[in-house]
Amino acid sequence: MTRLRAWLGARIDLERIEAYMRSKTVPHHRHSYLYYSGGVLLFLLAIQVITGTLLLAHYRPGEDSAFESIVHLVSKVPMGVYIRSVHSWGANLMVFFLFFHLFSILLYQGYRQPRELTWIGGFLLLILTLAFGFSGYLLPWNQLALTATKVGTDAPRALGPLGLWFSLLLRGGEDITGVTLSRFFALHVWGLPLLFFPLLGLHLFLIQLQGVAVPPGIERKEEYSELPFFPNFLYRDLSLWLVVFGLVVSLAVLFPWPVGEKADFLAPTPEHIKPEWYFLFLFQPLKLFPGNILGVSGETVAMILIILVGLAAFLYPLIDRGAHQGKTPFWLRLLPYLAIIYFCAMTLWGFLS
Amino acid sequence: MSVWAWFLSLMTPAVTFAATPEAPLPLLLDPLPDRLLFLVILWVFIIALVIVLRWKVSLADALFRMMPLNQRGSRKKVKVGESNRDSIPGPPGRD
Amino acid sequence: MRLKESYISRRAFLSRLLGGWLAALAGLVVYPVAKYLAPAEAPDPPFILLPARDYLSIPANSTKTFSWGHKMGIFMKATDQSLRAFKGTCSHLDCNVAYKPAERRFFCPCHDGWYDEQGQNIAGPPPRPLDRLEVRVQGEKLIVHQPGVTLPPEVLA
Repeated sequence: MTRLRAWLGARIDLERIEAYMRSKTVPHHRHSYLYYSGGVLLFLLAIQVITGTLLLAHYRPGEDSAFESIVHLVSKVPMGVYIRSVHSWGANLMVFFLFFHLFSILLYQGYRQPRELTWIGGFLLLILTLAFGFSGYLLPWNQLALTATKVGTDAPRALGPLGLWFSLLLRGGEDITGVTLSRFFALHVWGLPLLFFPLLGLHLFLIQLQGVAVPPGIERKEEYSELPFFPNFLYRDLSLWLVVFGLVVSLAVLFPWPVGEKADFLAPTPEHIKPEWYFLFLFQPLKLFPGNILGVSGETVAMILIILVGLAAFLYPLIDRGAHQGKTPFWLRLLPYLAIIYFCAMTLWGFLS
Repeated sequence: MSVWAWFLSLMTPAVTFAATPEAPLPLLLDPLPDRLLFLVILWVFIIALVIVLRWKVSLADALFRMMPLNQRGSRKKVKVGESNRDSIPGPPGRD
Repeated sequence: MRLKESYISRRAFLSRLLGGWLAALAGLVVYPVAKYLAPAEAPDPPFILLPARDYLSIPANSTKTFSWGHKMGIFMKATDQSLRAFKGTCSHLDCNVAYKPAERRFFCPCHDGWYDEQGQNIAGPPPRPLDRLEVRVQGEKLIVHQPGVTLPPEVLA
């Protein structure tokens, strides 16, 4: 081991790397447990990439082969049902922790100066992750996937000609066909990763440069210490990752993901259809909007509202400009709590109805 | 952390029961007892690792003292606790 | 019980413990993935049914191929009108063999392997004879089966 170190050290400046590693610290205070959520997301991403690659060995995209390849995978390939279930449950857990991560940053104002870019990159990563979820959902080509994608790709049409174009772009035509499946597969396996990984790299690089933010109240009163990253924080990180791993595997082994029935264009839509839980906060409010508001369709109004709110969330560090000086107006300090309540309420309501 | 490990391992079946999907096809699943056994073994390892990683010194210390290490032989012995580098680094001030 | 001396330092003990458990956990994860990536070969079918008319009508000293699972099977009517069947995979390296009626031998083009009309390896690299299958005619059905397999009664009806 020491000889390897000597060999490498003669070629790479190990001292500088090790000095950096020794100097890296993480703030330690009563809310620093929130810092683990990012690492958990990274770990879950790794699980998704690995299981996704394994699934690629058997999945065959195409109207006449996708569903059949899944059936083959779960019934004939050893461990196939578990690998697939880990991928599906892992995706759900990743989105769950993603919202946990987002809301915790919102609460302790991690987006404040100088970390605005980290927030913006993170928000884009959120959009991409939801896109991963949406595109991946169609791939099994079962009835549930078809219906969910139909609704999801129809929604943009409420936004006039641009929305129609976007809907046609997503579907590859007027309806959902094998063409849609091909492009969703390409997106899920190539297009989205191409966008995602550089963005993630930037996000992580910024965090290395700037460190993590400390909640403003705690920072002002200097009520925190610095925990060495190596090995203390890392050991805690790894322990949590082990537990998350156990969680994903337990879910996959105890509750394998169903295969469903093959997508049938002619079948009537099931009665209590609803999107996956992580889209409920977007779709459930549509039920609240009346059919027509001042001559404009309720759906259009809702879509516009969603886009405006999304834009506001994207640019939130610029809205809460005074955060780093402690000058956040009262209503803005209330907003994260309202957002969390809204999200949980809409999701729960959608889930239970 | 290991308290959380216990909590999560017990909560997992309870929380996810409501979300049980139904598998219409005969999936290539091992029978439930086999799967449960696998999960038990998995969680035993995870909890053991988490304990060693987080409470390395106190619990592992107890294990260490339980082992029959006082054997005769020609191997060189190390004085226990002689230098304070004889333990895995913990948070500053803790050992 | 307080230990004053030990053959193993506490650091080494903990490192090995940690390493051992991590290795065990890794094994617990790697094993299913390894099985997934390299599944055990599907077993050969115990028997298959072919339309007797199509196969029995071939001339003497000729062969006709059939599907044996995912592999090629060779049905043969010898010069003395007796019926045989073989798995058509060369015992050397998996290529499909072909019968040459003029020489009354099977030939594997990949590495110049030769088998006689009984499937016995006679020249070239093949280490073993061709795998033999048993043939049975039952009315309109031609049954090709693995040697020693008990055929279910419905098949023999």
